[in-house]
Amino acid sequence: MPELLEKKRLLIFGAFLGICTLVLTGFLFSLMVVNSTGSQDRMEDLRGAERGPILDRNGVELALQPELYYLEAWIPHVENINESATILSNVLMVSRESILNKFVDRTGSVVIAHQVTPGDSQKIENYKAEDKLKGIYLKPKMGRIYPQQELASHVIGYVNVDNKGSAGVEYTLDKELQPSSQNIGVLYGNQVILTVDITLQYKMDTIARKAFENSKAESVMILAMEAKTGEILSYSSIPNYDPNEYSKFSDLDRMNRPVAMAYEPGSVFKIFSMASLLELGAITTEDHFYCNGSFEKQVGNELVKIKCLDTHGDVGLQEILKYSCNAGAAYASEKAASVPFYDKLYQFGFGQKTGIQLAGESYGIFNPVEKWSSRSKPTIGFGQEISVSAIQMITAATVFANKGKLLKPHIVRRIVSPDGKRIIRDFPREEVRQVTTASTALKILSLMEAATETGGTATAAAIAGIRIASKTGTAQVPDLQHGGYSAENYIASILGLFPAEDPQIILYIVIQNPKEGSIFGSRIAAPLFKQATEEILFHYDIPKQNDPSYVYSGEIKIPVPMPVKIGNTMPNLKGVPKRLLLPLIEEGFDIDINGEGYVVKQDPPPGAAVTKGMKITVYLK
Amino acid sequence: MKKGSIFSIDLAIVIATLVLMLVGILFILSSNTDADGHMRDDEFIKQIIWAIFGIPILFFFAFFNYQRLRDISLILYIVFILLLVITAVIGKKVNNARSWIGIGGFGIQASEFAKLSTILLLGEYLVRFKNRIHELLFFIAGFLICMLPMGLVLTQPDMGTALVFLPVFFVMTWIAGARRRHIFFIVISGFLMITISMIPEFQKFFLKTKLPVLNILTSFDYIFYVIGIISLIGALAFTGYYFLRDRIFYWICYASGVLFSSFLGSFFVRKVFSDYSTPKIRLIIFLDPTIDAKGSGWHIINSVLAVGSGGLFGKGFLEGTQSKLKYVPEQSTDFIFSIISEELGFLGGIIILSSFLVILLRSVRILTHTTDQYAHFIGAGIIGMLLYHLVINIGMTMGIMPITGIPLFFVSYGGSSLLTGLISIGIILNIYFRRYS
Repeated sequence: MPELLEKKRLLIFGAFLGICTLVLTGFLFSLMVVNSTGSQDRMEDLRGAERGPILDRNGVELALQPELYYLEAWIPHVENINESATILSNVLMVSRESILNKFVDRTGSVVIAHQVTPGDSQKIENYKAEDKLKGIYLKPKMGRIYPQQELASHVIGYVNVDNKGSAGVEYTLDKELQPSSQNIGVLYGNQVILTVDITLQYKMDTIARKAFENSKAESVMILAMEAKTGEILSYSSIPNYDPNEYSKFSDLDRMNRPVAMAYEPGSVFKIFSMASLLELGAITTEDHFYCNGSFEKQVGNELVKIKCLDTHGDVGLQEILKYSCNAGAAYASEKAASVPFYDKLYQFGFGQKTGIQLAGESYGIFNPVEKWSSRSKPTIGFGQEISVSAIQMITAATVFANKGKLLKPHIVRRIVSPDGKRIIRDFPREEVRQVTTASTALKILSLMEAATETGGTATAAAIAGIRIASKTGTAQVPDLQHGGYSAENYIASILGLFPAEDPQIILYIVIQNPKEGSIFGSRIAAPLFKQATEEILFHYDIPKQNDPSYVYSGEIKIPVPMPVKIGNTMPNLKGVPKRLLLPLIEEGFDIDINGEGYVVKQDPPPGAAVTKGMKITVYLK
Repeated sequence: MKKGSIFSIDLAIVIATLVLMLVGILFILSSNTDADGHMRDDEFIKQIIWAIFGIPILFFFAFFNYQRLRDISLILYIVFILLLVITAVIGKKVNNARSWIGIGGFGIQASEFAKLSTILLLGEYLVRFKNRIHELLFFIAGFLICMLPMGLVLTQPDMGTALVFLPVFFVMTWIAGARRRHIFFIVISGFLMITISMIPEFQKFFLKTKLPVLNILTSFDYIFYVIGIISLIGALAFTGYYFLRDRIFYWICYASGVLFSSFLGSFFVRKVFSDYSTPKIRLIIFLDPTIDAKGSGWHIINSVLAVGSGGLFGKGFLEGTQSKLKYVPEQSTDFIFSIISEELGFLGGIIILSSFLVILLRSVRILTHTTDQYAHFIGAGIIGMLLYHLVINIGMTMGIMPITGIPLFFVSYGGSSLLTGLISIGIILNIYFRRYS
């Protein structure tokens, strides 16, 4: 009988292996035939893949992928070293010896040139078509060009040598910009359109750069936000860096201060603390306090005493903001219970990330009530013992422009498909929460207007014909080595909204540790505010008062893809369909169109100067 | 059919084997080619040399009486054990595993041949103790024959090849009449052992938190308590069974035995393979390759993409983008099935699978037509080995099996693997040739 058992088990085994093979075939079938449509062409020649561009809100290119190649030789296939070297030295304009040297003592592959211009690569391809240059190959080069150089560099960021985003939007939206990620069959990454207006950015950067140099400050930030949408129009932070050569800049240059630096905001913070107190009903606009040069409070046996900058005498809410009276703000804060006061300020967004699409955002430091000392509440009232980021400050100010509603700040306007036809993601106005009532917001605005009027701390920011609501601040900087506050480091700042009757723009300026000239926000930040505001009014054509007919929509339109226009420099024609190229011929350009579909390559490259009678060659695919 | 005639060999098996070798050589050539159509390696020429050298060896074993192999099986076993030991000491390191011993420019992988010599000796053992293999002691003794080479291969470390010994052992002993519960004891203990030893990684990558209760299974602090409790339950159940003879006590005893060995084994595994070591990470990324998409998950993701992109008829010979742009790693050896699928499509997959099915089913048929027990055992062992390689290798390229670097017999580049495969086929043919003797 044992033979029988063996035979039986052998047969079972045979059946088992048959089933195994069938199951494998089934899996294979489902993977290759049933589900194959997705992965079919997915990796189809990744060499043509291209990272999507980053554009400003008007479509100006801020980051793009160039059509560049590097030149590689595979030594075993190089048939005629001497001839190849002669040709290459002519094309690349380098000495023949330097090329020959690369072939000596090498096996395998050698990089001959790290970057070849489109014109040169065309010549090399022509030689290859003649069957010369065997074993020499043009390989596409991953790379990124930032034509605006250091403008908005903190927003744009940069990519590392592997073409992976490493800072700014390049980092936070890496997945969208990368072509291969999840987009099956797509060879191009999506386009990212920022909220930044690069023209305004240039003007703000110029102002900030000048102030940075004049005041010998550690940094100067100027942020401009569209008040009704939370879109950031300009994001200046000096020092900045050139993303094309990011490695040549120090970490301090590359630090994205508006989101990453936490500092004590000083008196500007009073607009938020006073708004909270008003909203909580702890004080009214009628209440008065007495400032005899300091704030005093008896806690048990201890006398808490905080010095004010001046003896302001009898102060109401208006005077507290207008003259920036610390004692008055401290007395007012004492009127509220700690927990609701904390909660209200937390609702303004302090102690939290704003969620802006930039990496490395700071929470700031806003201790919970349990950690407060008897000094905490009055000091927070005038902006000490709390650390904020600039982006938190400007975002919190949206409450005053939107009837008490806090908005989410945006740096990215929308993400569109490579061909520009489809909106992948849109970032419209986003209300976070109702922080105060509309009337409280209005009250604060009018109180801030008083600060800009004659006698207020922000008088230097006033511009005739436009109502500006603003608040200055001069904050001490904690001395981390010796404790207490530093004697030489201050943060001078100003935050303002205009036009005050219906704010369209929020502008926030921070000067960190100015060393030359004044240290006071009222003296150095306010005049900068005036300059910047005048530029913005001019740039957006916001009419000054006594001109009743102005309507400012708050919406800045992005032009739809238009027929190509060639001006003084070559535009980037990549992705332009053939039909849009045809008008160029009628306009008299000598243009050589090869192939069908969309432009994949052009000569001369984008940015080259256009000369009369120049020949333009484009390749379509 | 007349004994000794050249026509008495099983032609179907021979043709299927030749088809596999031919496809293998073509796709080793494909994997040697880069995107611009240039040859970047000459592995396919070496493989042709191996094939030319191997086919006579196949026919040699097809006509050389396998009973002679039986006579020298112990010597062969000892020789290859020694070679494994030598490999472990002075072997060449390839891909972090010391699995090669070289003579001049040529190297051999002793582990490949050790599989065959183990099958030959285990077959001999089973024939001698066939009537007692259902007894636990004889089952364990047989297991030790496999454990010795398996342990040596594990030290290389070559997890994939080491694991081949298990299915080979199961199939051979089961055919010989071993009890299912003995086999399942090892299978269940093995699975439990791996599961328990993977707990730290599971917590890190999937639960993303630490469950304190699992410390009981992983911490050295509790090891004695847990072992004590398991042993106590086992001992109580054993006493119960001894006096009451109730089956329930037997199974409790069985279960505590499984727990005991898997629990102790898991500490052993964690001692040998530190946390987050390669074999463990491979299991994790098998469960979710995106955990390390650009690192250890890269193999799986790109291989599955390559296979999936093939479609019904593939992208065409030398046209596979996944392979030509070198997204698929180890293309000529472990992942050769990926490029076959990418370039020949589902059709290519069917060619490979049906060729193997012919070899496997014809072999089983040959075994059922012979009365020699030794032939049954070593034949089953060989088929088990071929099947294991097939399922694991192809499953791995499709992402349904964890990555264990084992080659696809006859197809993958590599002389040792090809020769082992051809000798195996030779032995099967030889069994057919002598089926009436």
